[in-house]
Order: sequence, then C-alpha cells, then structure tokens
Amino acid sequence: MKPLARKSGICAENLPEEVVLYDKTHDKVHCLNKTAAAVWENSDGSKTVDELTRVVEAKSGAPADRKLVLQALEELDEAGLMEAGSVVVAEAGLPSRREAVGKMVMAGSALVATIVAAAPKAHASPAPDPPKRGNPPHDPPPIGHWPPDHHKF
Amino acid sequence: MSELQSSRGDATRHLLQLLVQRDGGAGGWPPAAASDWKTFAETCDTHQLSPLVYCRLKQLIAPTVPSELLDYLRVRFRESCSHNYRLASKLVNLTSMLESEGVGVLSFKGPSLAMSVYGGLSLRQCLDLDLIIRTDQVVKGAKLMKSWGYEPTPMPARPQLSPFLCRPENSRHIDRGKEIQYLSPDGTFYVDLHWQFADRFWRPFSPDVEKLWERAVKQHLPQGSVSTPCREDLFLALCAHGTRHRWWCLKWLVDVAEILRKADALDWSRIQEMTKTRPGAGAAASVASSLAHDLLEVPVPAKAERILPATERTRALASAIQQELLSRGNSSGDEHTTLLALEGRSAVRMNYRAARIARYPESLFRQIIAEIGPKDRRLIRLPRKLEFLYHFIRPARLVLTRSLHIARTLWQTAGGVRLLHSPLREMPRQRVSRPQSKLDTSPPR
Repeated sequence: MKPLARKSGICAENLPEEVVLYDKTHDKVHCLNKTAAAVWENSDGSKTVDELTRVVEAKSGAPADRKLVLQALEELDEAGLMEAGSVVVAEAGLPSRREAVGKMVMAGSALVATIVAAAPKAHASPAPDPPKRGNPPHDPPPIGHWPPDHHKF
Repeated sequence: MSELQSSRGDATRHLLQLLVQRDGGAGGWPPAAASDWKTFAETCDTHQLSPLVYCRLKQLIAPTVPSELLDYLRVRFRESCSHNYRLASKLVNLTSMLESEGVGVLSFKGPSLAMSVYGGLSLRQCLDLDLIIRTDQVVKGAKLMKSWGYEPTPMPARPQLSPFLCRPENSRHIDRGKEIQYLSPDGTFYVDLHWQFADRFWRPFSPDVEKLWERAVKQHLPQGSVSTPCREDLFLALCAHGTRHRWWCLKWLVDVAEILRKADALDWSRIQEMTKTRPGAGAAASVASSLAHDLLEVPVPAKAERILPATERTRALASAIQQELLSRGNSSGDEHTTLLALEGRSAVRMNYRAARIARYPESLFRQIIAEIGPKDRRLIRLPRKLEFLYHFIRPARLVLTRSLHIARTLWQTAGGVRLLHSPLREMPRQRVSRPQSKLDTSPPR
C-alpha cells in the first residue's frame, strides 16, 4: 500500500503542534496533531507504510510506530483527506477504530478531529443561539450599575 | 478592591506574560493553585484570546500546564476554528452578492483581519462580520440585506433606539450614526453594515472612510477574495476602535501589536497623510502604541514615535487603562470617560456632554445628585448623620464650578483678558518702599 494524500481543494494552516486543514470541497475543518499532519504531508503515493513511518518519526520528532501510522491513515481516509482507494487498513491485531479513537479522545489527543460540518439547512433542527457578541460595558448600564466617574466633577 | 477583581488582575498579568513569551521556552506556566486555572480560562474568554493562548501553552513545557486548562482551551480553540471558517465562507458569499448588485464593500476585522495579520483563520477568535459600504449606498445596501433575509436587530445596550437605528432612510441616522446590525437568516451570526467607523463624536479619532476606497487591497481567504482597507488604514481603524472601547478586550491590542511587530511592512507616509487630516486618529494610535509597548513589549519604531507623538493626554489615558487592566483584569470600557480624556476642544466637550445628557437623562440625575465624590467631601466635612446634605451640596458645587468654567471659556473665546491667569497677578509682589522724607529718621522699608 502506498498512501496518497488528497491535496486539491485543501488549505493547510500550520500552527505550533497542530495543523488545521480546511476542505473547500466539503466545507469541513480538520485538526491534525503532529503525527497525523506528518503522515498526511508525506503521503505522496511513493512510500510504503514502513517508509512513511521512518519519515514521520524523523520529521515530527515524536515517536511513531507502524500501528500509529496506520491509525492515522485510517482516520485521514475517513475524514476524506486521502485519495480514494489509496488506504487499505486490514492489519490483524489492530484495535478497532472506535476503541482507538475513544482512547485518544479520552486522552484529549485524537490524531484527526473533524471540527465542523456544512451549515445546517433551513428545515433542520433550530439553529443554535448566535455566538455571544463581546458587548463592551461602554454603553450606560441600567440605573444602579453606572461606572462611577464622579471624580470628573 | 474585591478579591475577585484582584484574582482577575493576576490572571490578566499571567495572560500578558504568556503573550509576551513568544518562543515557548522554559518559562512555563507559573505555579499556582489548581483553582487559578479557572480564573485564567475565564480571563482568556473575556479577552477572546483562548485560541491564541491554547497554541502558546502547547509550546510550553507540557507538564507545567494543568491538563484541565489545556482541555478547556482545546474545546474553545476548535469552536473558534469552526466558527471562523464558517464566517469566512459567509463573508466571501455576502461580499460577492453585494458587489454583484453594484454595492462596493470592504471587509473590516473578522476573518479578513485574521488572515491579514495572523496568516490564517485559527488563531484569532472572530464573532461577527464587519462590512463597510459607501454612505450614498446605505439605503440600497440595507434593502438588499433585508431582501436576503438579514434582519436588522436592535443594539443590545440601546433597545429603546432600535426603530431609529434600523431606518437607514433616516438621514439623521446616516449623519450621526455608523452602522446597522443584522442577524443572519439562519440566526447563527451577526453582520454589522458600517458606513462610518464611529458615530459623530468619535469620528475625528478614526480614519476618513471616504479615503479608504482608493487605497483598498484584496485579501485572499481559503474560500475566495475580499476587499479590505490597506494595512495602514486598518492599523489606524483598529487603534481608533480599541481606544474608543478603552481596550477592554485584549484581543484588539494583540491585533495592533502584531501589526506593529511588522512595522517595516507599513507605509508610514500613508499613516502620516491620514493623521494630518485626522489628528485624532493619531492620538488614538498613540494610546494604542503606548499600551502595546508597555503591556506586550512591542518595540515602537522611531517613525511611529515621530508620526504618532505621545501627548500628556494620551500618556495619561494609556496609563489609566493600563492601571485598570492590571489591577482589575479589565478596563471599564467606558466611552464617555475615554472621549473626555482624549478630546481637548472645550466646545466639542460641552456639545458632547449636552448630547449625552439628552440621550441618557437619568445619567444627569445620577452624576449630579446621587453619587457623592471625594471633592464634595473635601469641600466640607459632615458628620455621618448629616451626610444626606451632600446630595444638596454637590449640585450647588457643580453648578458653581461649571458656571465659572463656562464663563472663563466664553471670555477666553471672546479674546478677553484672562482674569484668572492675569500676568499682573503672576508678577512677583514687589515691595513698594515709602519715599523717605528728609525728616524721617526711621530706616527705609
């Protein structure tokens, strides 16, 4: 298997310790940790999983084993960030994805976190409350809470 | 000062230390009790800096940062990320719709600012969209927004003014106001449609909106391109906005600081050109630069010090805001006090005070009668049982001092002799010796 990352229609934002990928095609945002980001960046269709593991360990600076790289590839594929058919994970003894992701999420360190879906349609469930605007306390509050500026007089 | 304010002040100081420490390093999270991280997290939310703080903390030596704090900030970071990217999509759609109808639009703050200053949409928390259109297109723009399902909403702090504020065909609103706030059709975000940066009293402290258009630039977002004010006009507009709100939200100061860190990329001749016609904009920018230097250790270039000179007023205002932030964790955000601190022209100050009293008549009662200040107590010391008399003494004192001030101002304006500062009064008193008589044997005085 020689995984190939999908790069078209994807914008990457490199942050310290994390990479944010915006998928323009599906209007989704994904947060990748260091390992997943290194796997995605180096999956150019020419490396096997073992070669990818060595490259990822060298580039990310974090320890990476084959199972972790396979886990990242599966999550990236599920998130639609790999070219169709380039990732086939059928390794015996690999924990189920749900178990592994559950453990990762509990530890607060999922490899790939999809953090937004497309905007809800009009007929869907009621839209959430608009995010609170930072209303500054600059306009006069109700009587009784006026910021004292009596020293000006 | 209450314990809560004091702990918020400490949390704000920690926040500023973290923002100053840009390279991660071994400084780490200051050791503190476990409960302190909650106040710190709350402070990050108040100042809308959770995404930036999350990324900075991750660079620190991990064991020193409480895991609960990182988990909390991670959630805020991801919420902010998702909202920002969604807002950016809406921004590109809305601006292209307006432009296709012949309404020129500039994007101000929000996702376009995040992209311009931080290079991405994840680090800066965006709450809404701010669009600027030309004054003569406000009526058309408002009709289009309404037709697309955007509902004008009352300003939360002034619901009683909503019918007035939401009628763009009202020329008085166009002259005196600055924006209409809309709620999106799906109710998930707000759009502020501006034609000015500020209302009439704060307008002299903002860049001239009419000059933005010829200097506008394109800003690329992942979803498309939008037009924005050039970096120099953006810098002045951000300084004006933050100063007007007394920098109660540190996110705005961080925006200005990030622009100042790349001061070499700014065309200072453009800033100088704008501040010549709008000296107030220069004053607001001077306050911003002082705060960025003192609180975030941003070096202020020599060009900025020359073009945006600090005056007694700007230094005093910056110092007062800094004191509020460090002692209480946030500033009062009071536009009224801030404007009076910056505006030096007596006639404008009087006009502003009169307009404010007309808008908020209850403030007059509160300020003149209800609230007793140190000056009233210094004038006459009353025993506790008679302290109610201060409520009568205060208005009398205010009427007297204000009358004298107005009289002096009018007299000076009329070009009369400055009675209270007469050079005759300021001359040193000379002893006038009595002419000594030939018959006077006493020694001369």
